[in-house]
Amino acid sequence: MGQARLNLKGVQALLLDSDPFSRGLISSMLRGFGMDQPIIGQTGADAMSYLNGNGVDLCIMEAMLPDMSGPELIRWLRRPEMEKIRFVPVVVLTSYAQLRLVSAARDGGANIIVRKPVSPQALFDRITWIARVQRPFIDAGNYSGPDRRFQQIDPVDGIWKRADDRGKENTAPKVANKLAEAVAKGQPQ
Amino acid sequence: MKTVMTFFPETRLAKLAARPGGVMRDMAIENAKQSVEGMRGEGDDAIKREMDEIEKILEGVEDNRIPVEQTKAILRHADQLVTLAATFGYEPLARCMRSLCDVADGVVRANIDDAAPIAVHVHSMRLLAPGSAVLSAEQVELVLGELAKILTHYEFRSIAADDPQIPMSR
Repeated sequence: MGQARLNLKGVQALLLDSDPFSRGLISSMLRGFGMDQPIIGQTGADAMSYLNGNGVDLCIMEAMLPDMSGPELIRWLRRPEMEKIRFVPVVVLTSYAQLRLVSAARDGGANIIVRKPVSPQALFDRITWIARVQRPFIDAGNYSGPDRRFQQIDPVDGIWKRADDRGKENTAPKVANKLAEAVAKGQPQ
Repeated sequence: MKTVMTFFPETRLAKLAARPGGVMRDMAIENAKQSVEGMRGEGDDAIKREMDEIEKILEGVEDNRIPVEQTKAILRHADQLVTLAATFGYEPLARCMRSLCDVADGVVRANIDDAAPIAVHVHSMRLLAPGSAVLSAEQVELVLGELAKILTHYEFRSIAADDPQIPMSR
């Protein structure tokens, strides 16, 4: 099986981290992946201000920002009023002292959580996974975000490799729809 | 009955990433690794700054009693040091700083003001810092083993023990 190849040129990321060195480190990794220079912010207020008038393709944030927690910001972002921007993939970075925020980040609507120190491999593979695996987005009143019930599988490396792959049926949405219906009806899964 | 709506949004990230061209995984990772390695000098400076900040806070402590806000500040600096040290491969320092995070977190949660367990970690921090006297692997384990006893003595719970280990954090 061939290696994953991603074309990240033109992808606009928003990077939120209170520490300048960490911001520089993640920015340089993203540029190494072929991504453009990310939009940089330090606080939740920075993010809200930017996202109120602009779109981004990927959001990478610390689990705890100086003025609010990452999960709080994600919940704000996932509101129906945010329309298309609410589906933006969110990667949450947790430092050692922020490990207790992992569950809160997941329940806030994060797509994926990566522990610091972030290695280039881990970050590239997680972005690949987010970009390639279509995950249902659930709106359940008290939760808006990617479906939290998913199997941990590596990024599917073989898809989009051959011309006829694109014509193949993606059954994931059908399966997820059935699951969602079962949840709504209160049926056991 | 609760209404659950399911969407299958195709994100712009997915569309852009699927375009022809781009960078192979190995090449992308190698590029990023080189960028990170190019920041080693800045990283060492940042490590030194964070250690200086911790020592400065501890120097201001009187009668071995540390106010909670200062312990929280030490926790923030130690947490940053865990990331920095582990990023650049200074594993003994990273382990020492994880232990300091556990102790500082324990002091805050127990609502005590005892600076002694923090001070011991800060002395060890200098011993394990890059550029300090080279310790053998056995000596490093001895130092870290003694630090672990402090956590046990105070009956503090390691932050890592509360890690939910959910699959998405892998």
